[in-house]
Amino acid sequence: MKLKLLSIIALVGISLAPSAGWAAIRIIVHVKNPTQQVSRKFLADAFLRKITFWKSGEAIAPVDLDAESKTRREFSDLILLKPVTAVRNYWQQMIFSGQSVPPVEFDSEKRVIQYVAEHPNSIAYVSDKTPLEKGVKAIPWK
Amino acid sequence: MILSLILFLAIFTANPTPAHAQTAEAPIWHGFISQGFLKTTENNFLADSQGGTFDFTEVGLNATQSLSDNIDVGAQLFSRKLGPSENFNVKFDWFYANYQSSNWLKFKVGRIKIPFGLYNEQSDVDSARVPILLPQSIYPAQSRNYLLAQNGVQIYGFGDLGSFGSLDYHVYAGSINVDLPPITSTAAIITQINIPYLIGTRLLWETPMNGLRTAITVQRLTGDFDVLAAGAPLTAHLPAIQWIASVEYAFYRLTLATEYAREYVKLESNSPLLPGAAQTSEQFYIMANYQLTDRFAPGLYYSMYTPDILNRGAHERRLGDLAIYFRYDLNRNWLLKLEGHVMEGTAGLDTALNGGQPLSSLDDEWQAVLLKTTVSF
Repeated sequence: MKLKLLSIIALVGISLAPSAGWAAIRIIVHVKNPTQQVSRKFLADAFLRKITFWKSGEAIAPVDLDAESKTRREFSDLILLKPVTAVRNYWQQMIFSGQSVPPVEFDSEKRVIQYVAEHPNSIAYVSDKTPLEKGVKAIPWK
Repeated sequence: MILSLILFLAIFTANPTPAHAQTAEAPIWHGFISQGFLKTTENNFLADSQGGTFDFTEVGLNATQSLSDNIDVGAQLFSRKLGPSENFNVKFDWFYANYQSSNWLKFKVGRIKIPFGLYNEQSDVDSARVPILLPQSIYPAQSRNYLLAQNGVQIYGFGDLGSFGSLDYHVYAGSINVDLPPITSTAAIITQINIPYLIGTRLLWETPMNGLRTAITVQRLTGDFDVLAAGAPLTAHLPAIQWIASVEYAFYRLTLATEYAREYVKLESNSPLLPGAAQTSEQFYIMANYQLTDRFAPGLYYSMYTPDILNRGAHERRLGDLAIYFRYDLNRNWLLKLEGHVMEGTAGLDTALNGGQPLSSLDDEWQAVLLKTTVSF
């Protein structure tokens, strides 16, 4: 009986949780951004635009990848703890109720990096395999 | 209608920019078109629905513009056909100027969606949710004009509480213009409704447990009604206090939510034809949605509405609603929904839609089926 119960709990857990096998996500900011480290919660709140200012008082400009991007899916699962579909629904709520608009979105990590290099208040994520360019730096998250 | 359109275009005169190509400088445009079908057995609900009706259409277009890091403006035009109550009148659904001082302190003025409970702000955004109808006990579709938005001010913010989670607060005050055709009941005709003031607050606590959030909303308002009773013009004054307690748990693909609300309403009038009275209503629902795949999400809820907690007995004194529904996203812009309801009771139904019959004479067991498709960008 106990074994049966444990099996059911395990099955439910497997079906609810995101699939395993992450590629590492690298968080990037402008090279002049004084931030040394961010928490997962800070990232989630910033990318859902619940918080809109850095500690310095400057506005946060989050940058997303296109919804079809593998890195975006992994960021969504790992940081936002929601599938991309749920995040899209969240933005529909925000957009059509006049509360907020989603982050600016690009279809390639190269363009994301370029944008961050040009915008000192921005924050973004890329795959750890993507080479960084001058003007951006990676910061750890926990 | 024309004035609304001219104003809207005057505010956002730049070239429309698709969402995927947006920049911080250009106005950002979004819109949606929804078409629904509603069929009920026994009683008419929201529209002349017993024979099936397509009088269930919504269209909206909005634009937002960031003026600086701290200031943004936005507006949405909305039009709806839902039975006899609304007939494609184009109006400003919301418009605002928003100033952000810090994460903790932000100000908004204009016509603003009311943050009542978890979902009131999105109650007419079909693409944002799984069901077609939100639980009708707390988010009644026919009360959209009364409950959705207010003209006034809002102070709000979001703060990190460290190991205690986060707190999201809203404090708001304003008035509501109710733009409705005359409402006929068995006793009287309501010719005009005005809500001269409304004040409220919502505190939403995101607990340290990921995905678990809880909220309490309290709202006080006063409704002024012009009424024709037995051919005589009367005025009625309805002060009301509403509160709602909310809990939501969103764990990856699963979302569970429950809300419990009460509303205390007092009737004061200048005529013996409308004697004073007081009543407390009760609303409750429990809901579960599951995003089975990226495209497909089923869900179900049970909702109960009791207009008078001291008189729960008869079937016109309650409306229980068991709903099961499915959402399928054809692509990121186009979705289909199917929904079935098993209803028990007649509280909240419109007597005018049901041949002027009192709610007590309507069938207490009835069903509804809804289909809806929405395109949004």
